[in-house]
Amino acid sequence: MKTGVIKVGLILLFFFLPGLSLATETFHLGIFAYRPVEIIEKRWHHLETYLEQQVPNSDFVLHILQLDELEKGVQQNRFDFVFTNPRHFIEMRSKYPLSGALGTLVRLEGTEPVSALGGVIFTLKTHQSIASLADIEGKRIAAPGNGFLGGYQAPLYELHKAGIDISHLDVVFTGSPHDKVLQFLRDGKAEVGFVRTSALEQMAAEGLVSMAELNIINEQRLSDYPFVTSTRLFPEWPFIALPKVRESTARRVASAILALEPDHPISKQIGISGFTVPADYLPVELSMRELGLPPFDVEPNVSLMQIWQQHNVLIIALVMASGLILLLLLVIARQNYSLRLSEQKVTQYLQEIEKRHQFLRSTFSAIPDLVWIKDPNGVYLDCNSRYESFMGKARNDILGQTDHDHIPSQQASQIHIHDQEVLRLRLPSIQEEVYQFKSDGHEEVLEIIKTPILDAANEIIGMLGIGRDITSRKKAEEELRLSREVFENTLEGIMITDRDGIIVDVNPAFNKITGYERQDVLGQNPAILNSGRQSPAFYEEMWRQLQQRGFWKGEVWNRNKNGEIYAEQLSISSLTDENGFIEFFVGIFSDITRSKEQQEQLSMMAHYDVLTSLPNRALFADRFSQAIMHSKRNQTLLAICFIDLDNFKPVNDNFGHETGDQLLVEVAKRLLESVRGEDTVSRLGGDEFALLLNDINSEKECMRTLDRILHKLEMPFVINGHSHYISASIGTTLYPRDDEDVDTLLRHADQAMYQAKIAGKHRYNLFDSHHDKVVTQKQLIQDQVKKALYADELTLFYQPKINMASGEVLGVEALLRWQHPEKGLIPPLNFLPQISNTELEVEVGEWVIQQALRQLHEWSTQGIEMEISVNIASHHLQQPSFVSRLAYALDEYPELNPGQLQLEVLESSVLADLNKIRETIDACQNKLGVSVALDDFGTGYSSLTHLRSFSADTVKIDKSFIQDMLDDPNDYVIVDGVIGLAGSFSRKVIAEGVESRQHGLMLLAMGCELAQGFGIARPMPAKEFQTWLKRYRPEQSWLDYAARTRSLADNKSTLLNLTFKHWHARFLAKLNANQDSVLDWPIMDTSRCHCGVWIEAGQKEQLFKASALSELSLAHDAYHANANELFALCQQKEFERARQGLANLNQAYERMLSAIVACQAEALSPDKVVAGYSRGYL
Amino acid sequence: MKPLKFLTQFILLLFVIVSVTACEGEKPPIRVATHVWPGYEFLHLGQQLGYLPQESVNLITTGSATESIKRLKHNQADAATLTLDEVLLARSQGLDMTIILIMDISVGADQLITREKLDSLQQLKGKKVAVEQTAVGRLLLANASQQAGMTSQDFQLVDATIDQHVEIWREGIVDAIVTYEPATTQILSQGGHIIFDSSQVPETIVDVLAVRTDFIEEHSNMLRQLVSGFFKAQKHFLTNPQDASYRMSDRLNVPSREVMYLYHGLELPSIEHNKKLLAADNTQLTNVAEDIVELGLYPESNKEMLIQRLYSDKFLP
Repeated sequence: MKTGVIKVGLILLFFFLPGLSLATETFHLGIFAYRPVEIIEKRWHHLETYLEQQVPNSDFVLHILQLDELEKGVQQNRFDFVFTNPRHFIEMRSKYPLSGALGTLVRLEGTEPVSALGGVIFTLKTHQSIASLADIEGKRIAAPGNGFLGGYQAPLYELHKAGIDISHLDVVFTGSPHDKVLQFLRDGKAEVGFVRTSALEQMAAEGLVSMAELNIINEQRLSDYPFVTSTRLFPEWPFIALPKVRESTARRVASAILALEPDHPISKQIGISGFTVPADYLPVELSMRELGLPPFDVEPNVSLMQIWQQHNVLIIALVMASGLILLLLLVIARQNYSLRLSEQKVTQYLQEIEKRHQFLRSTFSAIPDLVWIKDPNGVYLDCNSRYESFMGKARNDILGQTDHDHIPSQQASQIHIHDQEVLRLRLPSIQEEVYQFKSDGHEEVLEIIKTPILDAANEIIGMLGIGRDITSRKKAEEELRLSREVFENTLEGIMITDRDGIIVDVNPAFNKITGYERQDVLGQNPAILNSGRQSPAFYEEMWRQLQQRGFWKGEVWNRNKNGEIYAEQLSISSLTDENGFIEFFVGIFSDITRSKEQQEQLSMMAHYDVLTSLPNRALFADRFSQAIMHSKRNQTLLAICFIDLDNFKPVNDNFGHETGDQLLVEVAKRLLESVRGEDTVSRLGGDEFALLLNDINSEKECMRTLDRILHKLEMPFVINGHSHYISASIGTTLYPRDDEDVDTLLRHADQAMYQAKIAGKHRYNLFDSHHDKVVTQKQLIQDQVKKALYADELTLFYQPKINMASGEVLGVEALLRWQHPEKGLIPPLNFLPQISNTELEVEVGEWVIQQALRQLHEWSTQGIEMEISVNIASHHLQQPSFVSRLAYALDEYPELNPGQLQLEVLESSVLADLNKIRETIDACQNKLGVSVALDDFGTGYSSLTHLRSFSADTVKIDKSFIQDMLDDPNDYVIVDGVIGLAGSFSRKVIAEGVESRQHGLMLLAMGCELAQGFGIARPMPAKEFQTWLKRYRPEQSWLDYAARTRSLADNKSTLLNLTFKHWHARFLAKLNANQDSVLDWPIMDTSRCHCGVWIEAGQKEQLFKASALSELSLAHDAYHANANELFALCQQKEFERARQGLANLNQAYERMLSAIVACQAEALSPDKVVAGYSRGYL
Repeated sequence: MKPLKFLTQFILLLFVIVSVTACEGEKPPIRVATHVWPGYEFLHLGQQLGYLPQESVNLITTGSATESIKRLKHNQADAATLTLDEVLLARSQGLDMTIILIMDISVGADQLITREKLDSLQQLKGKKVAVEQTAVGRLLLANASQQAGMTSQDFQLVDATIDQHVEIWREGIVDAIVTYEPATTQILSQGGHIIFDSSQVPETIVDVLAVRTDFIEEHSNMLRQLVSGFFKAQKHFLTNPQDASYRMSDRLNVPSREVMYLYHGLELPSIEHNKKLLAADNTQLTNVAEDIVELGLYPESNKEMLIQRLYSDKFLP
């Protein structure tokens, strides 16, 4: 059933609905027309057909409507299903009963399914003034309508989030569809437009607009989201079932729409990707609430009438219940009132009685003594509060009980018997009674008066007891007795004076210590004991303290009756009366004369050696610190000497310790005799002594003293009739040349002494502070390098490596430099050796690798593909974690080819642990793919072994060989040999230290094409390298030479030519230089110079014509004869004559060159390679 | 009188706010070094949504945690997103860091897979187990063995980095492997059984935001803003996953519809959960840190120094 629907038709249909056919049920689907009705109609009628197929006996009618119409339809409950935007959904859901969504739309954009939408904020390109959200304020905005999510709410939310006050925006609503917004902008009715995402793209696809015309404001970067967007995204449109739809129908419709997958024909026809499970529309609702959009724009407004209508029964019930409660409260209040009246009367009577009773009780209680009343049988009738506290029980616990309940029965019986006695005699009685309490067993003593109580008929009705607690009095008596005992028997002397200091009592110990009898001193002043050792100020201070604090303690020297002085430890306290006035002074003292003596001895022991009485180490240190001041003032030296006796142990072992000790005492004596009075001789322990010599003016002066000591000590020591021979080894250091603290100085002296021992004993040795400094210097440099590493002061320089034959730049070697902030650029040799074999070396090595990788990465982004080789220290290479850490470093640059990194391993370093290093190198090459070069090749001890053992890709010939190969045939042979070896093992070979054109030519002639050196470029910072690379021009002579087809003979002639010319140039240079020039002469020996060796080999190999060779040989001899003549003249310092002979030498030189040319021209067989040819010389 | 009093209070309050913001405003943005990891991405999401404006938070993208630590060392960053063990590593290298936020917790993302289906880990005694020499790998193995009453020493450990895991498994060199995505999926497809995963050791493998301790003192307000912005972004992610997916897919390098899948096996702790974990009297983190230190990865360091005052909860909103 195809339907094109307009408003009027819909209303008609609505009235017609109830009477519709029973067999088929009609369902109305409301769709929000966000684009022109025809377009939506064309696309969505496919859904209608589809749903009719999926739901049996159904007839679906589409209603494509504007928002307000759609809402009205929902309000009137005309629809069964609604398909609208999320904003509208939320708004309606808060107003009308609406069940949740059955599904969420998934749009299709190209091949991408999209289930989220947002808004687009845009202007026409002609409005350049609007660039950001902030520019929108005050501009006129066109939006399709306030019910739109993408077209209104989302852009609004974005403005709100950007801090713009949305309540003052100037928005004009164009109405649906979104196309109108664009029209408004074009007509100039607005400057800014809001539309939902995809709307612009759809219009563009329909040719209505070109995206190039538009400016998108606040464009979001949303990865693979296919539309331009200015806002956050929200879930796409929900497909909603209204509550009146039967659950079974809703389920069918839900499963039908969810079955729409991208390749479903219906999906394709509608042009969507399908539907997915309902999304969470909470973000939409939250943003609506935040923006205060309808329906969240008003506070809920509930009228009283509404409340009444809703809850009238409850309200009536509440009012009635309240009335009832009020009535009951009134009745209760009335009854309460009458009760209170009668209660008041009773209370008045009671108060009267209580008052009288209280009067009696107060009297009873006020009596300070214990008062109690018992009946004739001993049962308590009453007691006062004093009695309560005495018994430790409440009155109620006492009344009605007998003494048996409080105190042990034996005592209770005794008391009872006595009570009966009083009653019987009918007379009062006084006595002391001891109460021991059952509760805790403590005893109290009472003085008691008991009186019988008689009634009017003279009958006994009870007994009154009044008791006085005399326990504390008894205790005080006891304490006094004890104090007296102590006073009499203590070993400390006690003296009591009155406030004027007149002695009122002393104890027997006083007599013992001072010798004075008691009667001698009573009434005397304690001044009789004064020894005169303390100053008057001392006593003043003592009295001041006594007055202020009431106590003094200290040591006093006093004189006894016999006039002897003794020391006493004295403490004096003042005793005050109740008003705080001093009444007495009590002095307590003990004789400490003996302990005083011990103290002095102890102090001696703390500073002096017991055996020799020499100062010990502590006092030595003390004297040293005093001497420093002196030395500084007088600009003199201090000598600290450490003396250790030689051959002392045998004396101890053979003659016993006592002899040994006597010997030490003698040594001490001789040492003291050998030095001046102001010097210090100290015994450090055992047979070790130390000297502190003051005021030394020179090393010599110190040595003289030491000589004297050595001499004195070698004299025989005669002990117990035996002669003992010993000697001494002495180490000395001089302060302030060795500017350290005393402990360090002693240690230095000790070290020097040890050296003296090693050197053969019986001598002295001066400490060499320089050597010691070297060690500390190394530590210092390590610290500095560490700091430099962390402060990024280390940097890498790069030296290019080239192929001389092709001119191509292969790569660079990274070389470490230290860019010191003050000292400038520091070369590696000045700090690397100091950190070798340390953890720091590894750290620096790791840093170098990371830097090199970073540089590779940087260059590769600039299009420069290079190899960087880095030097790896042996210690670094041997780290167990080397390979894994290298792998980690490489991982950071996954796009780099690991082969671009080359590790240069020093040939000498692989000596350390052949197998382990081989494993490491193999792992680096095979697992990680980095290349490895053996550096400084040829300098090691077993180069051949290394070349075989290590699968290094490249061999680097050490620069020392390259630099000398033109001069020294031996170096040449090594270079040639290495090139040959490398060739045999299929390794690349590169020469380091190429400094001149000649070096390059020679290497090319030998077959080595790769080179590095100052002749090509110096190491440079990375920045400069790029400039260098741009300007780099290959050396033309190398290119030319390499391009030539050369035979073996050609190569050899070239070598001869180069070496000979070099020899000549060098000879001339030496001749013309100053006599004292450091230049060396070239090799003068005809058979050992390059040419000589060449000719000899040439004759053997038959590469050249014999006649040419013999001419060459003759020319060579003639040349050397000339040269030797000049050489001899120079040796005789006849330089001028030598220079005059140059013309002849030049002639011989020309002859040689001709001979070389002839040789080359007449090579026997240009291609010949001699069988069994061994590399070596030619 | 009353309105006047209110007015003066209001003006006073305004003055305080202005002066406080003025003070903070002068400071340069806090620099956070972070590399791509799902749990860390809310920082970038927050920046996109304006919760972490660039004027106050500068996110520095690094290639790895190592690079982040290096940047901290060279004072090119103030904070970094790291795993707990990486924080300890930094501390062992003398870089004092404080954890102020738990960004995510592994709940199953790290797994121990065996070749045969076993009833107990005991059956694996003496067998070869491949494990990465990282704290996470070793910690998981240590925990798994502990729960089975064993120790890591009961196995023959084979050191293998994550890129070698699939290969090693295919070659049949080992009997079990400690691994994580993306290797897990491939290994399980070749036949393997998960016998233990990180969900069995709750709150152990955590990703955190750590700040240089010397930085904390004077920047507490900025740090509070940073953490609160992070939680706003996390909330956006949870309530509007569709929008968040589109925004995050670029950095995570997956299509937007697969973004959510990346968060399997990760717990995103809420503010309350963070408060619990970072509370001064909660020893959970310290215990885990102790366990990591016990693994002996930082032999030269003082254990007490490494774990004392490791974290702080005072920047949580």
